[in-house]
Amino acid sequence: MYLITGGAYQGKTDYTVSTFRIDERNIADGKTVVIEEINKFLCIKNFHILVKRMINAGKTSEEMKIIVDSLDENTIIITDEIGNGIVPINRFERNWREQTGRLCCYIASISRKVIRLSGGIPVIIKDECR
Amino acid sequence: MLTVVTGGSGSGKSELAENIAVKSDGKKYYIAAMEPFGEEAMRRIQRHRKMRAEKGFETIEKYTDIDELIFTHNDIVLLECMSNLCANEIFSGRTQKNAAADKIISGIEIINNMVSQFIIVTNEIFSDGILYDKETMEYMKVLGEINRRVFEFADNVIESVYGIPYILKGNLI
Repeated sequence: MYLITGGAYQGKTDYTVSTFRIDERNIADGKTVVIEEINKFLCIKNFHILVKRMINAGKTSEEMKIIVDSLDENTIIITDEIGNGIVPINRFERNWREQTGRLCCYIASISRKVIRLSGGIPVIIKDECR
Repeated sequence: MLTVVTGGSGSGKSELAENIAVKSDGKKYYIAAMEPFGEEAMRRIQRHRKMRAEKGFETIEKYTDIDELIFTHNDIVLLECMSNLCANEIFSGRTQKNAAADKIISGIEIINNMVSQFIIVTNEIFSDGILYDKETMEYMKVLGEINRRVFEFADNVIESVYGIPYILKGNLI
């Protein structure tokens, strides 16, 4: 697995398209993709929104982990880093941030590469290919 | 040796800090600064307790005034978390806002001079672009100042990005 992260609008998708030579049409969008069909794609963007939709669909953290495990081992996950703010007062928002973080910790642990984009600049956080 | 581990919510920073602490030999203490208000806080605390149980930490609950704690030079001390300690100092009404940063920094220096390893967990709360009420913004300002000042004299500063250590300063010990 590959994890591409960073703040919003930092060039994560552009970086992924050019580095991994992926046709943008083959990237599933976490905002719209059918949850049960994500394992048909080799790249998923807006993964943090997908987590929100999975929580809304009643998935537990364990169930979300199982969904991640069903993905191909070469899948590229693109997610906004959303945990770096004041802890939200709203319970759902708080839970969503926490769940996204925990699930991404899991994905990072099984990923060969973790790359964080800052203003379009990729910073390699983890690289097992080296 | 002072090591600071920073990161946002769910970034895996606590576990990373604990794993750094267990690598060193010595008696391990955990300063818990989070006051258990309500059921959700209790659950978080229990989750952290469970994570630490196997790792041999003795827990000291200390919500303010960390300068009062006494350790010896072989001890390994983990403080979690600076954002709670800072909020407690400011919002308990016991410390003036403009004195909170000085007080916490002085407490950190005192502990750091006493022990062999001091590991502090702090929090990245600064990047959501939201303008909060005056009190919250003042809190953010104080925590930002503490982080900057501690990072300056810390030996190692590590950001946890989904559990992966990203080194901002020094080494991963």
